[in-house]
Amino acid sequence: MKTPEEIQKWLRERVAGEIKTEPEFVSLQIPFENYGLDSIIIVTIVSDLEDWLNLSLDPTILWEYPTIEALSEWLFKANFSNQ
Amino acid sequence: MNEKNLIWNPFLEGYFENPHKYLRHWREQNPVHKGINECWILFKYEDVKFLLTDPIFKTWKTHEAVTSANKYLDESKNFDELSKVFQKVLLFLDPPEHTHLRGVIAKIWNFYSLQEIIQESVEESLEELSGKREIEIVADFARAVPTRIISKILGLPAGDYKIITNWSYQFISALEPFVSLHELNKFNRHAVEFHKYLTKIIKYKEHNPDGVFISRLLEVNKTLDKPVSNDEIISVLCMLFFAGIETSVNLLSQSILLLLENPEQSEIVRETDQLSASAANEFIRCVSPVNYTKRVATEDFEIRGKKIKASESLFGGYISANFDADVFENPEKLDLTRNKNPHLGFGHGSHFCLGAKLGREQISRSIPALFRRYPNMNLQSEKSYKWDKLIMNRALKSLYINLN
Repeated sequence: MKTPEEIQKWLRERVAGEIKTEPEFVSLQIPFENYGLDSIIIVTIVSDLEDWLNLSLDPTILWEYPTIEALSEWLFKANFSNQ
Repeated sequence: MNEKNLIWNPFLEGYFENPHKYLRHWREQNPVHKGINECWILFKYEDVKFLLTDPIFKTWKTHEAVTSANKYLDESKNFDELSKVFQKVLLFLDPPEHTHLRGVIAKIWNFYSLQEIIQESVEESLEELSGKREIEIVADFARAVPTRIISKILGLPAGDYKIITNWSYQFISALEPFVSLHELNKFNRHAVEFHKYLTKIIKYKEHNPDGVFISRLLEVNKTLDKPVSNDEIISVLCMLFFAGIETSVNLLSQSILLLLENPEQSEIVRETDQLSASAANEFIRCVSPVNYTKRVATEDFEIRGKKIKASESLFGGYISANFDADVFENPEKLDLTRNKNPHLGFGHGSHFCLGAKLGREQISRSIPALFRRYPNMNLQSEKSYKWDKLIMNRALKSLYINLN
C-alpha cells in the first residue's frame, strides 16, 4: 500500500537519477518523454515500479499516463484505493 | 471500439487473446497512425507491401539498438555479446551486405533434401507421445518438431535439444519492442552461453567435418574473397535458430488450435499425408507467425495523408495485412481450399523468408501426421490454452489437448 505522494516521490527520484539532476527539478506535469527518456528506460522504470509496488503492470503505462502526476494518480486509484 | 482516438497498443484488454477485433478497427478507421510507443504502424496490405519493397526504407538494426543501451551501464558492463549474436541476422542487414551474405547462406541451405529430415523429425516427435492421453501440444509437438529439424539441418547433437530451443525463445523475445535493461541483461547472458556453445561446436566441426550445414558453411567460408569471422558465423546460426524454430512453433501450434476450433476443416487434413499448397498457405495466412516487421524511413514521405519523417520507424502489420478485405475474400474465415491467397506470411521482397520452403513442407507433413494418428484429438476445455505476451511473433504459451 502506497500513497500517491509516495509514488510521486519514487518516480521523481527515479527520473532525476536517469537524467542526473535533483528530484526537485523534475516536474510532475511534464511528460516523461520530454526528459529524453527512451523506450528502454521507460520500460525499465515500469519493471522497477512493479518490483517496488509488488504489482504486475503493462510495459506501456508510462505512455498511457505520460506524466508523474497522471501515473501516480492512476496507480493509486487502480491498485490501492478502496473506491 | 468506436473511439476515434484508440491507438495501437498491444496491451489493450484482450489483444493477445484476439488481436483481430482491434486490427480490423485500425485497418478500417485509422490505417496509418503512431502507436502507443510513438512508432508508426501500417495496417493495410498495400501499405505493408510498399514498406517491404520501396528502397526509401532500410531495416531496423536490433544489434545497434542493443549497443546503444550500453550508455546506461557502468563502464565494466555491456550488452556486446547480445549485439554480436545479432550482427549478421539477415533481417537487420541492407544491400550490398545483405545480398552477399544471403547468397552464401542460400547456396548451402537450398542444398538440403528436406523431406527426409522433416519425416524423421515428425515421427520421432510422435513416438514420444505414444502412451500419453493428455499433452501440452506447444512443447510436446509444435516445439519438438522444428527444434529437431533445425538441429538435424545444422548438424547439432540431438541431446542439446532443450538448451537450443530455449535460446531460440530467448532471442526472439529480445526482438520485442518493450524490453527493459533487466531483460537485455538476461538475453545478454544467454548470448554469452550461446556463443561459448557454438565456438566449441565450430572447433569440433573444423576437425570432424560431417558435410552438413555448419561444416559446409565453414568450408564455403574458406573459399570466399572476404571470409567472415567465427563471430559472424555464430550470428548467422543464431538467426537460423530463432527464425527457424520460433516461427514454426507458432505456425504449428496455432494451426492445430485453428483446426480444433474449425472441426469441419479437419476432415481435409485427415484425408492426406501431405497438405495441398492452398491448405498450407491458408494456415500461414491465418496464423501470420511474424505479426510485425520494423523498418526505418530514410526520407520524408506521405502516406494516406500522414507525413512520415526521415529516421522515423514504422511497423508493418503482416497479421493485419493478411486479413485485409480489399485483398482476401471473407478474410476471417479459415478456408483450406482458398484459391486467391497472396499472403505476406513469409514477408515480401528482398527479405522474403529464406526458410519458406521448409516452413511449407514442415506444416504440410506434420499436421496430417498428427491428425491421422489422433483423429479424435480435442481441446481439454474451452479455456485449455494461454497466449504468451509476445507482440512481434504472436505465440501460444500452452495448449492442452486430449489425444484419445
